[in-house]
Amino acid sequence: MVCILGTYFFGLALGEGKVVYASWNQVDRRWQYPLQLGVGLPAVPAIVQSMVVRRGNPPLFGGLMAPPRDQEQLSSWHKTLNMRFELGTLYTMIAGLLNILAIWDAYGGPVVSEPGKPERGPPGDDKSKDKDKKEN
Amino acid sequence: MPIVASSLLAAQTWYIVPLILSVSLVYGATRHELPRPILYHAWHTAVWMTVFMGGIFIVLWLVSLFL
Repeated sequence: MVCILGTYFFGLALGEGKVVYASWNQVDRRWQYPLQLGVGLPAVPAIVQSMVVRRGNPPLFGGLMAPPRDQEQLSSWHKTLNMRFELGTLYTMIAGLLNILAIWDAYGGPVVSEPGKPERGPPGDDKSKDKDKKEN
Repeated sequence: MPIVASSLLAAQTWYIVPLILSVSLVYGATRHELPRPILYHAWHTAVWMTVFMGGIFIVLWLVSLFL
């Protein structure tokens, strides 16, 4: 959880809170957002901001996670943040995907690794211990 | 060679380090339950990813020489 949220908030800080936003229109199809949403609640404010802005109201929380008004504003974000916009997007996307992996792990348990040679296995492997217990 | 060194030392290259750390740790945690095997697996994943991306880096660098 520390790794995932650390990655997410580091990416959000890199992008100054502008890299996570929900927008799906002719101007900007933000396909990255569904992946960012994988992180859960921390990405939900973007949906709220999107709904608020769509109703014609000014964005809340100083524009944090609010979609850009138009293409010009999006371009200015890219110009201001430069590579940090893409890096922030990448970090938050990977955090979302890692959280989906963690959810899958919580649901299905640890993935069974392929049986390898005993001398190449990790020290004190939990699965090999389980195997020893079963044999005893 | 100086171009490779300057590319590796460029500030944006180091943004990969926390990503590799977090991805390998989370991936290791999906494979094992105990801390030591998780760290062992994470180390191997981190090395594998670094070598893989290093290979791509070298290929792209070689391609860039001919552009």
